[in-house]
Amino acid sequence: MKRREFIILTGSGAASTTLLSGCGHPENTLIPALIPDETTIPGVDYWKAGTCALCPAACGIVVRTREHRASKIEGNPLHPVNRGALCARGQAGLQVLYNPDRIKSPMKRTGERGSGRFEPISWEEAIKTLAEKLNDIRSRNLNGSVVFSMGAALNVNRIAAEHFMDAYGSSRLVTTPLSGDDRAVGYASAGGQAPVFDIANATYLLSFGARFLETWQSPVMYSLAYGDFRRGHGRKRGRFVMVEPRMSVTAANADEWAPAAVGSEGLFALAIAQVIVREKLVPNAAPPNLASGSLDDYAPEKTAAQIDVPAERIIRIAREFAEAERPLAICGGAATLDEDGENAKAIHFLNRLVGNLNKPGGVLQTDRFDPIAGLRPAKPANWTPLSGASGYKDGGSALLIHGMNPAHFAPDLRDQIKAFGYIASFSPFLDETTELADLILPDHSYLESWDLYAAAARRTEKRAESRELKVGTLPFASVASPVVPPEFDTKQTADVLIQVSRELGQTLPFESAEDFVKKAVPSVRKAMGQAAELTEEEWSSLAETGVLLVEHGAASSTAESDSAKAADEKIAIGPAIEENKRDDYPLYILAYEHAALGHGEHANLPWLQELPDPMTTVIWGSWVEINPKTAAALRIKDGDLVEVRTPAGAATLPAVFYPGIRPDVIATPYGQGHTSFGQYAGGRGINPAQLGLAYGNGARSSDSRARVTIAGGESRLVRFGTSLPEKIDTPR
Amino acid sequence: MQETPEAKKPQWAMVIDLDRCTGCEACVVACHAENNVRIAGEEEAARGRSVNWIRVERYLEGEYPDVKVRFMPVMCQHCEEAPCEPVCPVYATYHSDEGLNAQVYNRCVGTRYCANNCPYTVRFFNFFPAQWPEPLWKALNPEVSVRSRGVMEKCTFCIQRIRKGEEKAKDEGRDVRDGDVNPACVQSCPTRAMSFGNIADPASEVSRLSKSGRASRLMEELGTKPKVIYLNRGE
Repeated sequence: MKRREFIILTGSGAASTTLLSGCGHPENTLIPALIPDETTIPGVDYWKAGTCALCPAACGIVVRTREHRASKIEGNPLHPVNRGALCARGQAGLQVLYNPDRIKSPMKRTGERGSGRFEPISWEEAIKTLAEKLNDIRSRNLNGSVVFSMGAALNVNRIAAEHFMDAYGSSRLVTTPLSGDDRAVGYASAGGQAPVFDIANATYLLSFGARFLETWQSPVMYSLAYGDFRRGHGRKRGRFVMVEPRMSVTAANADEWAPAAVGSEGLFALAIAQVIVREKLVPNAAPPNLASGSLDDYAPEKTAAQIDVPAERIIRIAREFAEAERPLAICGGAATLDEDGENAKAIHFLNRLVGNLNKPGGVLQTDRFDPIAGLRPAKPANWTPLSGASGYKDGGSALLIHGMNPAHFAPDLRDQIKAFGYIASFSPFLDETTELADLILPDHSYLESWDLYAAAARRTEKRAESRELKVGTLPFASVASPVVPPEFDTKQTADVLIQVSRELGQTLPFESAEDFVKKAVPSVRKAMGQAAELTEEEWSSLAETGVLLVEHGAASSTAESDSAKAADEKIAIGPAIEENKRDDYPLYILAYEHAALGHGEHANLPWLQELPDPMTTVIWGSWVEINPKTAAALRIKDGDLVEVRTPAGAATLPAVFYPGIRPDVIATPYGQGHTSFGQYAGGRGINPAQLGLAYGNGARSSDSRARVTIAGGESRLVRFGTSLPEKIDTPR
Repeated sequence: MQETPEAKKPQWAMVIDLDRCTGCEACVVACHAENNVRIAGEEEAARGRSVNWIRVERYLEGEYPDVKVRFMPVMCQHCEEAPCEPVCPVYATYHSDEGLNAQVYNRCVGTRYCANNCPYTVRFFNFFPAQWPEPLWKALNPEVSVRSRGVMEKCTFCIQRIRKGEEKAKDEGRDVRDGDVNPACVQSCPTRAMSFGNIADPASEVSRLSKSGRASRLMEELGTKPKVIYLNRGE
């Protein structure tokens, strides 16, 4: 039995981990990476806990280290979100830490801006340079124009940035654009944190574009739930229907795939609602709050042609949904391309109609668990999502940028970026945005950093006495300490900001990232009703367990708020979709998030580049998916190089025959098309932004149109393929 | 070792529930990380020389809009009657008394007969030396040898984890039991589709699941007697 498993068996989390003290492992202190070599035993594995930073789901991880080298990342079995499991991205985190293309020390620009020429400098010089620059800006009363732009970031780095800007006197905080998934999930919340969808206990799951097995909200948490949905102990196999114009990996796992017309998901949901109301399939069925017209205008008989799904099929799905024991509707991906959120509102209305809010198998609206509010600035920070019209517009005297690469995902904004008087990047990699910087202050990787992150997980449990399902809340905090010493001469951004603050004569409420964690842990414990102060042994075991939990938390609270709590927003979907048909651009084009490479932020990890896309098996490149029937009409063969042209631009890509896509749609993944970002990412594939499909550019992406023609020339398409016979008697 | 009667040796087997498997490929990266599986790079991968001890097969059936997709993770099936074993001229591949199809890297002379004879195409040849640009090599697992050019490699059921689990059980003076050994793929699986254990132990999870009405083996008509059991999706 491994030490970690021992921890699980002896109870849950920090409260019981004092048992582990005195186990004779002196390296297990909360400063593990700083312990000298003579205190570790060669050849012995030490597992250190942390939080995964490769997507916003923030799963708990444990990292195997030996002789101060990290050699494997696994899910943390104690963490309530991922319970020991971990996805492909999370596993690849080692290649973030040991990536050969990491920036190895602070650097200053030597060539022209954007030339990519930098020379290494010391941290003293780097911090002094930035402090002098910012001091100079402040002396000219231009500090209000300084922008801090922060995307994916550790919690402590974000809070440090908020304090830094607050003290410096600028409120221009900019973050990555909200994804459609974020917005869709937001519509289902009733304030508080993002809701949790109890897929594990649903008996009928209707997903409108939500790729919950790949990219949606928290893929590992929902994959665990999906396993139980299918084959959970003592329950019937759930039925899963997916509405999506392009069959994603998630849709490929559905029992039924309904390829509704692009942008018609809201109409589809209202058609279902109309059937449920007119047939009185649920008690007290109240129609939705429509901006115009009546629900009867959305009857399947009237809307089926636009949805492009037969009315009988819509009626059948509506009946199955309403009559299921625990139905659940979720929304994301292609269903959110309308950008105004009307589809998401209509889809979420289905949950209200069947009354599954805060019930087992339903939408679990969750209060925020924020025990570290005292460490945040008094005035809540307001992060503006970046778009062409807000964020960088009008430039400014300086841009501080961390954890986002807008020069790649929104290349149109390059001029806005370059308009800043001074650019300092905290990126650990020389990406497209960092190339434009004047000063680079490389951050640690997440495995070398300190962090603490608190949230509330949800769990539905079966009560032993009544066999009834009961929804519970599990507040938790995930604690990360450095698992290995810094690989290069980098510095955690929170620490850099604190040092620059000192030079500027500002004070921050914590002295370092480590100090933040040391101050946050007692507040978390206090909020959990535990003794605030930790003994030395408890601190040590926290480095191994990584989570703070309320014992028996599942039974602690069950906020049974009713449907009325959810905002009854007006749904503005016209009974007819405005069609944006153009003869010169006969096809819709969708760009979707690559399950492994994301929107390109993980394109520098070779394990993920060589990981076959599950549907097309393509590796190391981009492609465009086309229905074989459409391709035949255009005389395109599988693997041909084609030119995809949109009103905004053109790209040459290999075509991949994809039977699971509507004939009037083509699709291409985000992820590639980097012009820099290291040896594995640079000069590879196509960035969908060049086709006007920039991530979060505010346009109605469901209106994006394209035409495809054969380009000629040799295509560069590497597919993993298979050498098993195509027709074998495979297990079904 | 000699004292233990062979019958008491664990017989390792894996069960994969295809109704839980979503094709997410977490197992693939977990395996790469655990077993020091090299990256081929685009050029070599285009020549079919990438290595995946475990891969996810994707089967597409039907035409739009009635398309069905099935995912199936495939790794070395550790056949009891393994076609790869008798053809090796140097006994680099052999069957262990724990039911593992083992590969001795430093015995392998690279004839590739075994890969030719494997119906599951799960054996991979090192056509070129592995590259680990500084400092990527630091992520290597010190418990697994890095294979050199000219040798064959394949899934070992994470033999290093099996040994650790067995030693632990021995230290505690007991037989191995469920949970002692989890290969990297099984450990990572986000849907808990995979189980691993001793099929000779009637109380183990793999024993129980292998008796399921949904159980079958891949291409079992070949008579290879695979040690990987798939549970059909069912409806």
